[in-house]
Amino acid sequence: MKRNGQCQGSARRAVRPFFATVRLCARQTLDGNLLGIYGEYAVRFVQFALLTMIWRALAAQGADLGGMTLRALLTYTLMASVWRQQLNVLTPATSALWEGSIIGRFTRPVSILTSLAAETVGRWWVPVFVLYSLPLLLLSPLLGISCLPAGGLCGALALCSLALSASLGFALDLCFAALAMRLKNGCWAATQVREAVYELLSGAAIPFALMPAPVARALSLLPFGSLASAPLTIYVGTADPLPTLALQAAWNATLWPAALYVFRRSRERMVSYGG
Amino acid sequence: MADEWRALWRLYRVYARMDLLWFLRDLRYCLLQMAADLVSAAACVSGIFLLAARFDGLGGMSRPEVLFLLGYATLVDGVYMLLFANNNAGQISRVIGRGQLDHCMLQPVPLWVQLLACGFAPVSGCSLLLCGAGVTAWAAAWGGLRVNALLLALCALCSCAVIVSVVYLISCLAFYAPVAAEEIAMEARGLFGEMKGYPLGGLPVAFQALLCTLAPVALTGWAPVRLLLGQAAPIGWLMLPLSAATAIVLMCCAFRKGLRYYATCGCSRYSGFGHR
Repeated sequence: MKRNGQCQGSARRAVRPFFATVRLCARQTLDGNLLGIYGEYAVRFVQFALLTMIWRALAAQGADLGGMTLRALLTYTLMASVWRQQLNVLTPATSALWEGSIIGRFTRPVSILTSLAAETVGRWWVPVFVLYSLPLLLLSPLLGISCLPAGGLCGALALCSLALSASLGFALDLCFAALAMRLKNGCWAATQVREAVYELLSGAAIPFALMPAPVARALSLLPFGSLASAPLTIYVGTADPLPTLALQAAWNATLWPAALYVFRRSRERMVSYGG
Repeated sequence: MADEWRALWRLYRVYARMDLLWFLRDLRYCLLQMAADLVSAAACVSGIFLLAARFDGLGGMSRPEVLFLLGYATLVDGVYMLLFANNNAGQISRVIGRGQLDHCMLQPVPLWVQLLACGFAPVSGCSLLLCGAGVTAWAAAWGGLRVNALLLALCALCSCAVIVSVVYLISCLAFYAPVAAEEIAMEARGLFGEMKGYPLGGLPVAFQALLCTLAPVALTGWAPVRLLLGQAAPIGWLMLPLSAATAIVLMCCAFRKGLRYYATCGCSRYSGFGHR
């Protein structure tokens, strides 16, 4: 009984700093930076609108949408925009390294990985969900797009897949942070490449079903394919959930140890010039 | 005025020399940046081209025409990188928001000359321009497209002028809200990222009109390419330079107004963070 209480107490002590950081970062983001935030959201919305109109134009021409219905394709694009932050995890690791503020993370009473994860959730996940994703979901029926999954089971499995995708995203971000440490002044080049490659290889912008079949098959097997395409295709019911989830779990099992190893090795080489 | 143009020319030479020196002294990072630009451009181009390959054309354009459009979009990015890549010249909201315009005002050269010259990067910023020119030429040869090179260069300059004007116009918000709008130029530039490579044929006319006016993404890709390929009405040849000129005039008015505010109120960016 006493041991059970101690466990609960230590769990609470471990979780409390995480949520405290999340709260701090969420407040910080909304503290006067609304212009920048809404600028980003406006660009994202225009991109979303453009893609949906292109899909509608393709369907109107009678094009074969790779086994997807127009409804599924529109829902796919909607959810890619709604879940953008979870599908493309970008922690403040690289920018903190550039500014030199990463040193502050080492003095906090939580591990650096927990700190980066909490900041990501607080700075991006919470504000984006409240100020962009939620309004877009509410607006979607007016745009003629269904935000519902193909079925209840598909929706539940897509959430599991989303969790695996976010976990994989953190592992990949850690790898890129390690690369940025080694590149020193070239850390933004690494980020630039990562962003561009993500757009193409993840299937977030253009579903793999719309690409030539051999390319689509190859891309869906890569770790980037497990980031966005996997949860989105499960959500719209065009993927077999079990093999897709298994592949995501396999990439997680492979990339997390690798990411922790390279991050630990690269940490020794950390040099910051200040931004 | 002639003195100012001479000063601009002299500054271009100085910045060209400094860029070359960066390339020679820091070859690794310079090449890394150039490679990153190329990989990003290739990734942006590939997605839309794969779509065109799958559907044997897209938005009323054949595969070579889509590739030509993507090459043109890369070329426009290349011109932008060549002229505005360095010293945050293309991210002017950072300069304004951080109060760094003060540094420019100390110089014995007019502000417009400094802003036009300080981004010039003929060595480190040339990779996209070369890549865009190569893809455009290849697409023209592949599809047997007959395009006037001089008109292509003129259109690319007009498209680049539209991008710069919109970025500067939106960046003027940083005069009034330096902290909140410090990074807004990046968002404005994001509007002209991957989107300008999409063929917009088949889209609702109202949306096309929106993308040619309020959010002029179409003026930096689809619209000029249709002109160059002879698919648009000849009046477009008048509309493109006119749109670019309008954007420049609007930007100049907003920037001048912002500068007046800046001269009166300064920048409140200096804080406990220290001087940037």
